[in-house]
Amino acid sequence: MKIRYITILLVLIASILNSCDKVTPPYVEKLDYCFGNKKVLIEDYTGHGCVNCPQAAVIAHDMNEKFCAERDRFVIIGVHAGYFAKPDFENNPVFAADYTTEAGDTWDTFFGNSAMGNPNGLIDRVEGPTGYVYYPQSWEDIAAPLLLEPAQALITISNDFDTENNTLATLIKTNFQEDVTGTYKLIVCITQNNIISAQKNNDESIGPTPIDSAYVHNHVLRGTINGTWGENLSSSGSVDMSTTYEKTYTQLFADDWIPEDCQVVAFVYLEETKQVIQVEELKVLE
Amino acid sequence: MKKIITVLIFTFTLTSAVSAQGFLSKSQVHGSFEVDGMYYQADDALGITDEEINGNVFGFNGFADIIYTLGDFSAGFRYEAYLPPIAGFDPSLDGQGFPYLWASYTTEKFSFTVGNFYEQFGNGLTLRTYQEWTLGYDNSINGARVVYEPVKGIILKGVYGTQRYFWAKYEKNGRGIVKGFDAELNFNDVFSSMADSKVKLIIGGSAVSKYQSDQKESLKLPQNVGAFAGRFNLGIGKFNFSSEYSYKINDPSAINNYIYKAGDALIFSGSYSTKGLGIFAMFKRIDNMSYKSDLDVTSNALDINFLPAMVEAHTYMLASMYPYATQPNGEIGYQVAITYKVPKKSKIGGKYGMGISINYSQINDIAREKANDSTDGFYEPGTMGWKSDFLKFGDQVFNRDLTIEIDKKFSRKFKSIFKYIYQDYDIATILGHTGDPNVKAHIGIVDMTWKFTSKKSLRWEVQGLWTQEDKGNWAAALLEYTISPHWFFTIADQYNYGNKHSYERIHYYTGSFGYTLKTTRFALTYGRQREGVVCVGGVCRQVPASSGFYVTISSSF
Repeated sequence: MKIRYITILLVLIASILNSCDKVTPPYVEKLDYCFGNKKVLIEDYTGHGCVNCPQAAVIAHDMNEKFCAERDRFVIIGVHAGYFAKPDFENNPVFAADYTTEAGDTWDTFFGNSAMGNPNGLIDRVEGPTGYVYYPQSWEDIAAPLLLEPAQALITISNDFDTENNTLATLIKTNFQEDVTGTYKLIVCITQNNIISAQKNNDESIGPTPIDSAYVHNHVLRGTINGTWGENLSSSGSVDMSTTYEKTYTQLFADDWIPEDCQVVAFVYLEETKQVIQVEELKVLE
Repeated sequence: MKKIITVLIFTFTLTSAVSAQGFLSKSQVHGSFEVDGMYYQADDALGITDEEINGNVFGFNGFADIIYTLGDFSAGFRYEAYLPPIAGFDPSLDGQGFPYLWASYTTEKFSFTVGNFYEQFGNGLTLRTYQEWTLGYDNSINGARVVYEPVKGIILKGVYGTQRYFWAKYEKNGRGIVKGFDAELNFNDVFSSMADSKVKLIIGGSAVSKYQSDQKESLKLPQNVGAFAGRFNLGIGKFNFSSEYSYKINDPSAINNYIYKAGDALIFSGSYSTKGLGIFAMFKRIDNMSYKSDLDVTSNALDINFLPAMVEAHTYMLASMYPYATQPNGEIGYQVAITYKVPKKSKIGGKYGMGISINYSQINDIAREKANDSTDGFYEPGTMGWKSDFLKFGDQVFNRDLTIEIDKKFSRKFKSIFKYIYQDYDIATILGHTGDPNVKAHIGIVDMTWKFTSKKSLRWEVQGLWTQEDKGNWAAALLEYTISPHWFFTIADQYNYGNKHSYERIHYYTGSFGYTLKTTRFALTYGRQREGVVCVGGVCRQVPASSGFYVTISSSF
């Protein structure tokens, strides 16, 4: 008995003494993130009352530059939802604006973002060991391997905006690049840049603190065109590699949706896991 | 559930060898339970609306800990439920199950444990696993542990396993595997010549390693990260000295922004104690010593080691408003504490004597500068991060705390505590209020107790916090009536009267009562909880403002 225990301890000691990997420089392994056709969706869950959220917006914005300066590999949606996104006119009139949306609120409840404290986000709606939600510090880590995967599908967007009727017609084509199984859905939504409105902020390098009254909100989710959870690409749900799935959607723009500042964002996801397999973005007016 | 069945089958198989009568007479079962429930309600003053609550009006945290013992054998489990977790606890706790299952066989010289266990090497600088219910924290190891004491005074320990990460199961290429070894030698026990010596000496050393596979494309990561420590405890009469130094090899992680410099930590403390007088001093330096079994985790989870706090642990309402959280990436500081008991029947001490204690602690950032090596970059991923002179204090004060306390008994019925605290608190670093200046707060507390009878007493507190920073001035009062040993009734209020925004000058009132019967305790509280931070031992969690009922029931047998 005694020998058995002593043996276990000795084996443990030996294995620990051999368990040190001293790494020598250079520590960074250069990978070519400009190669490949997969794009990654960053959903930045935010709110104008969240002091740390401007930093998260910067992290999301900088990821395009960091991974591939030559072309955008990320599509960003700023989802205003939860406690920090509430209009707060009574306490401070500068926070009267309401950027929450029905889809954003539903996603927020489903994925649990604001319950974990903003800022945080979803990266291609990838589910990790503790859920879908990731803090901004880990967005790069989650996104990096996704960029190196081949895209399972490609999406093309064609926009036609009728300025007289203030109406958008957008054609979304989805073409699968490999055989896949499962139910695939498409969500089409509108985001808007250059919305100047108050934002709480605690980072002087980004803007005035504690309130930046002229903060520029970008990628703000204005709403989905085809429902909160989108719709099946095919009537049966299953998809075929040889078929191009296409559909045209029309959307009447609200008065404060400036077409020149808006984008159509389309993404396809597997319903069973909610993971996004491809995303694409195109300005409403070029 | 499979694990539970396995443990029960194992227990049954073992015990079936014993006669039924012997089994019953030798078996012992102990346990403890606790449930904490919160009912939330909308509160306009706190900005909490029905819309925000969105039907989630209940929070529930509960556990049951059961231990079965039969001779040298013992086994147990803990059931936990967070349905959903009470506000302020990590949402990843949401769920219920049996996260803690274990069986152990212990003889005079050996102990062998399989399943989950808690362990600590020395001060914990290389390894400490523990559970803290008030934080929702549990980093237990699931694996095996051997403890061997070949002779009295020598203790050898070995551990191997993976750590708990909320409810997530261990998966290949997931979080890391932890292995560790510790040895401790007590000279006074081992050497008979020192058995009665005034000099008491214990030395120890530990080595820990974690293995996590390199899953990052962009960085060249060490898959095996080792940490080592040596320690001693020396007592010479009324003096005592204790120290531990720990060194960790390159361990890039999300906490240190993926830098590659080695980490180290030093704790040194000395104390002198004689009748009526105690003096304690401590020095601590930490440099890049976060050590987790998953390098991407930044939340309060998967810590392999523990970095002890070095500040006065305040419990009074306003004094605990700015608690210090240990900064694993670097801090340097010292603490001096003096306690003196003014003798009875002296001029100052009066009939019952008087206690005086003074505690001062200061913690700064370490002095950092660019490493100036081939990796270039300051604090940037994929570089050495920084270099730092070992004993040099950085300019940034993280926390400074002066506490002066006088406790005085005026008569058999009346006693009181007077406390003055000065705090200089880096709210930007510790609470993430980037850009905000350090909070410099003066706090005064008067705590008085009047005993009506041997069982009935009334205690009242009056507190004030004065600061120009953060939320400005606060006042607080508390009234507590106790009927020993069963009942207590408390009302309290914290009022942020000095807030620069009139709409934030809010009363945080609470009313509570409790009943205790033997080992069972019930308490119900109604009122508002202010936004803040709860810290235990330098580990903290954020608590949002809330309003409603809070109930807690606990029992043990």
